[in-house]
Amino acid sequence: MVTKNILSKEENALNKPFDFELLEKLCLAGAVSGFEDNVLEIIVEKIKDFCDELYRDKLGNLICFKKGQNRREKPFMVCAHMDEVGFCISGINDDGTLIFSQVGMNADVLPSRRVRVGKNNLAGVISARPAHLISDASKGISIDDLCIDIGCYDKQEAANLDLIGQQAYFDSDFCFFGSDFIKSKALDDRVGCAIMCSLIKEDLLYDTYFVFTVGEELGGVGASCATNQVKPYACLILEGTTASDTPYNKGGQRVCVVGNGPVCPFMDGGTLYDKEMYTGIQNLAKDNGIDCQTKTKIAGGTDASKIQSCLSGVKVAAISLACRYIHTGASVASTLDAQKMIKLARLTVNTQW
Amino acid sequence: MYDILNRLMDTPSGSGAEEKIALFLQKEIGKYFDETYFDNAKNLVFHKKGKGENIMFCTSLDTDSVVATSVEDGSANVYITGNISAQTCSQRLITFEGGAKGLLICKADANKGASETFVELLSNQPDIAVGEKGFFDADFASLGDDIYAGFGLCAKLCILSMILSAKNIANTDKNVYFVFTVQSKLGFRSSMQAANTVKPDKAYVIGASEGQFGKILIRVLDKSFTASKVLVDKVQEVAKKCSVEYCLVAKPEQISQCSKIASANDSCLVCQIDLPAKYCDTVRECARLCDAENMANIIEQLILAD
Repeated sequence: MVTKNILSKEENALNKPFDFELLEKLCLAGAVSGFEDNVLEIIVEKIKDFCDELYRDKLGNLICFKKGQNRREKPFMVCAHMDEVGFCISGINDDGTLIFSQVGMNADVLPSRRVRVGKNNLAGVISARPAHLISDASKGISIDDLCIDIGCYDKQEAANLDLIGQQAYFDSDFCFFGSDFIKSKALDDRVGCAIMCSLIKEDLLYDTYFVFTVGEELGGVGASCATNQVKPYACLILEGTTASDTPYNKGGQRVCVVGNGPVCPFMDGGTLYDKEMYTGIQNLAKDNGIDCQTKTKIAGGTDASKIQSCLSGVKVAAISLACRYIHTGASVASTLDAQKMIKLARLTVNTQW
Repeated sequence: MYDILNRLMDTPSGSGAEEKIALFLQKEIGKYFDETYFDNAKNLVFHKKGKGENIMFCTSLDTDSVVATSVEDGSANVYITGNISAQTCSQRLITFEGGAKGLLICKADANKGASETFVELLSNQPDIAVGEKGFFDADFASLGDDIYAGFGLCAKLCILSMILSAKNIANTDKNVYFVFTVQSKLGFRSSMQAANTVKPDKAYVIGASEGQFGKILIRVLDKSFTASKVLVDKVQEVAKKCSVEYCLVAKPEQISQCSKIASANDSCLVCQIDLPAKYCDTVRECARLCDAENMANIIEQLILAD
């Protein structure tokens, strides 16, 4: 591994600020798996003048090649996913409410949430069967107990809106609160997308592929397809990850902690990350005074599980933003962590792996 | 043969920490092949260059192990890699990569339907880093009548079969790959990469499963895979020639490397041959040494007869 300190060339290069304006724009766009176009358009507009090659593959992944000052010995890919958890409309009830399937989340977090439905972003509310009418409330809420109320009186009125097969996503604002916290839907993984957009606009030491993937919340189908095209030797995944640092969890059960810096996992539910890259990133953080934590519970997964299985294997590492209440309409993270995450990602991308 | 097995049993090889056993193999059989390398997934590949189709023999390097996920107050919370049940290995001795030792404890919480698994460290142990791997004590013992017991014995006997056969194919002119895959206990995560590296025309997976000692098992199907009939016929033919008893088995409840290898970019014929064993995926797997020798003969004859 060859690490060059990019500060030696440009004093402030390492500390360029995180683009929260872009993050807000990306988070507010609705892009459930399979409907990534809204986010893709924002990204293309932002990066198109800074890429040496930019194309969208057949599956919908956006692939950007950016020349650096030097060629890499072996191809390197950075990736973040464009899609978010949400819903897909699958039918209409007689009373005009919508039947839906959820993509990537638990039904328990859904009742009474505001949503936006279809191409025209119609307002809706997730309606739940009252608790006293559920036969066994102790089992939690089932998707069958839920529907989306879009203010229609009957089935025909809703059918006229042509919503079957369309996406629905959380209707949520993006706000700064407390001393340095942000709250929004889809921080997982618009934070990764925002960081990649910023890095693409910078001068890089080495040639790098940046891939904005589709379908991560459905198991990573986009990532494997992109990897087979780019054929990287190593890959860095930028992600949002679960922080369970609530009063109910202690010690290792917290997984990671908001405010303790970016998360570089050694392992998760789908991947045992490359030892050399894991140690290398931890050392980059240490050498540059960046707080960095690892996951203390083996849970969750990223596109890495698919990427590492492609070709003759791909070395993978991840840097993630610790997010509370991930996969809900109101994830919470620290702006300071985001700032440290882009700094660590910048150092990692400017390293020869 | 016993000496090699003994040394294999003494070499820990938890998922993601296969370096030591890979080094052992390089020293032991590297000289019988034309090239040795690691692919990007860290699978260890031995290649004997020759004529004809690419024939791959493949087995796993790793055994069940634990990974420290957090360390607090004299104990380390751990995640168990592999199929071994936490309850069955409770109170076993664990040694971490850095030398720290402790007892694995699994506390089931019936109310929550969950369990807590941690290593209670012995006194005055070195520090453990989060992410550090821990290995079970091999507890290798002879039970008499050529039967042995120990932790990870099945994986080590499969490796032994490959070692023994490697020594006897030095003069073949066939194009043969011996591949030792990593992270199999984490869902055979590197098997497809191995097949993408080697691009075999025929792949034989060497494994172990529950069966009667003395009878090699030819797996015709498992949960996600049906074996190539051509290869199954070939193995039967060779087993007869070697006078090795065998039986065809279906393991619909199990998964194997086969489906991953068959899903690689270039399709190939795949079949799995299993050593018979008892108490698989427990802390004390039992198997016979002579079955590994039989397996080695079959591997050797499959190469020569191809």
